[in-house]
Amino acid sequence: MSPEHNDQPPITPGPLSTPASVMTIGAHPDDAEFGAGATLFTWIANGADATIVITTDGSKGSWDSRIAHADLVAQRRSEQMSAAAVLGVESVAWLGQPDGELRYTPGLRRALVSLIRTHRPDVVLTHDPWQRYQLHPDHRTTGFLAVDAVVAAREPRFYPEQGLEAHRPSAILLWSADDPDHAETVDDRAFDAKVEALLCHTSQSETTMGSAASSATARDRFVERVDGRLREAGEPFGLDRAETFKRLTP
Amino acid sequence: MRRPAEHTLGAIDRAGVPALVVSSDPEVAAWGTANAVRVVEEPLEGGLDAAALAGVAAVSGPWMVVHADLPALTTADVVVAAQLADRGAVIAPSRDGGTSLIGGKEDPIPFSYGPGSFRRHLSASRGETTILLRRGLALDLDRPWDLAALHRLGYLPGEQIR
Repeated sequence: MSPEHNDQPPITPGPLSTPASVMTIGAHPDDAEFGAGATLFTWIANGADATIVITTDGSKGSWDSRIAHADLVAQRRSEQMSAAAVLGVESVAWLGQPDGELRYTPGLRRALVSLIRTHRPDVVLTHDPWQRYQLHPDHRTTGFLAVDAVVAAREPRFYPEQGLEAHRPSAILLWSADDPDHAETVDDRAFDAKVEALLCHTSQSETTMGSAASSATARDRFVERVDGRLREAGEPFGLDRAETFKRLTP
Repeated sequence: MRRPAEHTLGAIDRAGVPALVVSSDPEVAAWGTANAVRVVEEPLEGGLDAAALAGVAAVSGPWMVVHADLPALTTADVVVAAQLADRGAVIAPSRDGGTSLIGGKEDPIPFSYGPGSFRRHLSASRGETTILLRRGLALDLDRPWDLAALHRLGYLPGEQIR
């Protein structure tokens, strides 16, 4: 590894300027919307291209045992594409691994490197794999896969057989961080877009959204919950609402 | 609902794509005549599936079926969709899993509108089908709170939600 690869440019405080290209790497359909939906919307509205990558098939995401495995997978794919469209994301990529059983493999890292080198995002957003007491194994594994893929994607001696030029994003933003050091402000439009995108995931209404799809009251409660979390996250940064991250410079 | 429909047709018109409206409503027919839009009589039975088929049958060459309740639809959305329909097949989801646009250059697949139609249309598609993800095609008007949500997102002037 050449010495300049270890140089860490100084972190510029405050929100990032709109990247030309951005990629989220999440474990399940809806993870990107929960972690960074408003930020995605804002950047896309300002001209960014965005890609959502999902590592698993989402096949554990229901408490209803009557839904067939294939039907749930298809429904979650459909929901994710609707949510992506609401945010303005035009590209969704699937790695299709079994939900809840994601394993860190060189093959999955290689697949993510290929996506990063193809889409060439300036910013990669993913789960914080170092979050303390993160229960979900897919979130931990996806975070490590994504961070390691960024490291490999920037180095030309990784996977030269891909025939793709190495690419170094300028920043990695980790959502659900214990100690966030970066905030992106969430204005009213971005907040509404995040909520609308989350509500596309109707199969998750019962499991993660307080049955928001069941009634207007439940929906309002969910909206209040999201609003409260964003306000709480923004407060330490002096922002009304924010999505917050741990920021790394690859 | 007239203004969202006029908005949708306006975006299609500005894209240079000839449009027709399928409806059995005399008011819509009169409106179409007044605005030089061809109106195809909606079949009495068969719902949206039959209406879509009647529309496709009335044109030759590449076709698209676009729902009329798309207040965020842009001319660019229509241009991209038309290009994809010319090349093969295209389908776009609405935010609730419906199909806000479907098109192609070959005979259509059997239409299957209703809840979850995007999944059904996609699984029935033949050959190479492009999934078109566009905000203007996703944000439709179905539920009571959709009007307010679209207004907050900046797509509907206030007078349209009263």
